[in-house]
Amino acid sequence: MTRKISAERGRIQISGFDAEKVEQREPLSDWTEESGDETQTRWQRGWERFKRNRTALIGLAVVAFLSLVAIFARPISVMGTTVQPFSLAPYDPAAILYLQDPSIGVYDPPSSTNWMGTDASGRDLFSRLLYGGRYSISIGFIVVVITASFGTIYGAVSGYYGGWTDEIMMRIVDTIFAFPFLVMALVIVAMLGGGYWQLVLAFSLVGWASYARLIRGEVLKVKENEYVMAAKALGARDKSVIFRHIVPNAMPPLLVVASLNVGTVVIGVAALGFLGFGMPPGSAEWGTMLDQTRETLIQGPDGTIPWWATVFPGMAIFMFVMAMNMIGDGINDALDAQETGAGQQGGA
Amino acid sequence: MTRPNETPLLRAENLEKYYDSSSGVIDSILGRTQWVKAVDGVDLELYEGETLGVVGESGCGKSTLGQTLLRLIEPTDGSVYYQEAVDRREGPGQPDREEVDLTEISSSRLRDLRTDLQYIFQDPFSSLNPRLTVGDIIGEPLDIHDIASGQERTERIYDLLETVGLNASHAHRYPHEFSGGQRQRIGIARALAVDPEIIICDEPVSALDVSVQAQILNLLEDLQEEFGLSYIFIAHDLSVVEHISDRIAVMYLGEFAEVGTTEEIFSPPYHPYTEALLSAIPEPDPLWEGDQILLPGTVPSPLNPPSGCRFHTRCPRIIQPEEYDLEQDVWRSIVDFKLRLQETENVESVTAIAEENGSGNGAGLEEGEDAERIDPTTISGSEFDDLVRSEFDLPDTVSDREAELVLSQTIDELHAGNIEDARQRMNSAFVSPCEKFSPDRIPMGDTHEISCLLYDEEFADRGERRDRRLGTGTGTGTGTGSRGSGSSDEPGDAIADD
Ligand code: SF4
Repeated sequence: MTRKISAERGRIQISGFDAEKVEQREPLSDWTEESGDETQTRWQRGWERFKRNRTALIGLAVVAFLSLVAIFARPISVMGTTVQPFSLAPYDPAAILYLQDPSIGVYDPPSSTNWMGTDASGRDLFSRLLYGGRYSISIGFIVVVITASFGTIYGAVSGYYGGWTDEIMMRIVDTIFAFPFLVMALVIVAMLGGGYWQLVLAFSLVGWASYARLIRGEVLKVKENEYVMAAKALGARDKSVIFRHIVPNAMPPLLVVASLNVGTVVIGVAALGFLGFGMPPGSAEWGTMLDQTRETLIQGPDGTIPWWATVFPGMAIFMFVMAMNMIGDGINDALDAQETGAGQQGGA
Repeated sequence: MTRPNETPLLRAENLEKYYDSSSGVIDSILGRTQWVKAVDGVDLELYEGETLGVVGESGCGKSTLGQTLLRLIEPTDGSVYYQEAVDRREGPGQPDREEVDLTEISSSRLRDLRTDLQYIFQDPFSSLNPRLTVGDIIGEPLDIHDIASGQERTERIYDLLETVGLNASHAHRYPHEFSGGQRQRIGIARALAVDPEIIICDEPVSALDVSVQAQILNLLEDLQEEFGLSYIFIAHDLSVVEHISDRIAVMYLGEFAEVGTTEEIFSPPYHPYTEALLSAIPEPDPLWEGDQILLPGTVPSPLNPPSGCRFHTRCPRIIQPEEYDLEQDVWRSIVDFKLRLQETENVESVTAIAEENGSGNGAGLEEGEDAERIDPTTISGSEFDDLVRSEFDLPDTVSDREAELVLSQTIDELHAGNIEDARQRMNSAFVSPCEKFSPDRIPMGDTHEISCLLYDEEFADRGERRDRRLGTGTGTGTGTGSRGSGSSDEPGDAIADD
């Protein structure tokens, strides 16, 4: 037999409903198709909100200032050519000043020549402080970039594939979580010996797990959205489904955690430095500087306490971490507001 | 159902999707697996250029079916055959086709076939990635399948936007700037981008305003004509698919209850479930009071689907055992009573549910009684009897003597707190064939199939008998209906012995 086509089929006629009237009536809201003339991306909207947050901007300024100062503290040369010729620090941070100028001693108080005084070896504290930012800040950022990237991939894979893959991958994460963050970093550094890249490695090894867990949770949430299924229906590969559709939508909480984590890592590095496990003794890293002057907390060589030797490096650590936290909070607020604001747009 | 001179473009055979509902690794190691049978042995055919409507209440597995057909979810068992066009020639004429089993092919082959098989999603808000511009959303399939790039890609996106009734300038906007109807149009444009042959529309209008629904349905209708598309159109009520479908499949708990052309579905003979669905479609008539057939309860959980015919827990026309001669609604109530007994743990709940949920079964208790739980041991036997009967809307005495005997004995046992005995008495006394036998697909015509024992020759006379009694109020003896057959006594006896 031949195919029957339903006699009932056809375009739906609507009666008793005047479409023109609805289109021409007073608008129910001031939303129009044309009102969003320049389209803003989510990030632009987030940045608009962030800019209105004064605390966060102060934090950003402080971090930018400390970073710039660290970069311009001493000239940087790459393979013989100087790429950064400026030198803000008055002295070489490693130079022992009384060898050049006998008038400068050990633990000199702040003066017009040595703004923050000198340390136990007679080195200029101010110069060391500026220069020391290079270690602390860069370790903080490098570790966060490494851990966040690895953790993101790990968590995304785990969450996306689910099942046994997820089960095994998450048990590994649990194992890492079983050890306290700092203690594990300390053990690793103790095994590897101190040094810049050793520190980076140690903090990366312990740090990625929290990102993995966070991203996995987000992925599980985002995965429920139909656009993920839609991408599969279009024939997208897993890789592109994960990195084009899932991860970008899981990003906001990651950003908040990452910005807060920079501070955590800097404190961690300083703590290890203070315990004598960080950079080699004598390097101008902030925590190591505190370690070098540890005995001054109790009593100075002549009965006085040279407060400048501990207060200034401590202040540097405090300011940086505080500023990073202010930024993190600002990002959190900016993205949060966006989440709550975005859902209501559009309408039916 | 066969159409001898045409091969279906898409054909599913015994498609099954079971979900493992065990909670975690420990359960699966110990083998404590429970299967949720979301789709349980579905056969369907989709012919070129037609629209097949799939209708069912929420939770009946219709979306799972749609996604399993395209292997967006891996089917547990069964096959889906697609007639792939090979060597697409220019100009008119049928392309040569080659059958592919979608469940067997590799994932990269499947990816290629996605250009022929597309899907439109239910929720226009969550089916578009909020981080991508409309242009990128529609452009994604073009990128994936290397269909167009550069200027050509842009042109194609603009074209598609205009095809679905949007404006080319919308390409640079983000989804949140659009209304639900517009978003659904974007979703349609995305599906169209690959120039598909089949689109599965998964409740594409259920999230939209009624006025917008019609626009989208008309758009789909126009696109079908323009591009020669075949649709599988999933919906939860018959009124939506009525206008757009050539054929309709009614789905209940993972199985098809009835399949037929739209006219066949909308006119007798009906599957009892379809009949109930049809009665729920409101008429645009202010005096319409509705001859509604109320289905008690919701769709049962697919975790432990009912035995026999899956609809028997709610079917108003459930078949009576041979040995009784009851009014149909009384019989239905007896089955409800029996099913409730099977679930409950204590005697109180047979009446307690009545108090909390008096209207649940169309039964109400007298005023004043519903305030508090009544402990069955504190009231007299006849009061308890009243309570139970009013909960299930049973008359004081059931017309069939034998049935009445069983019933009153059961209630006495319940009153004595003997729930296990009561349960067994009911279970052995009242067994409908619908609980014991799964109905086959029974062809009612070339294109019409109904899965219901009423249309099965073996039980047909009982259906007839019941029908006649409903019609006339009296009635005796065995059926002599046109579909009746001599073999009908046999299964009845078997049940009675059980
Ligand atoms: S088989 Fe029985 S329970 Fe199932 S639909 Fe038919 S009459 Fe109702």
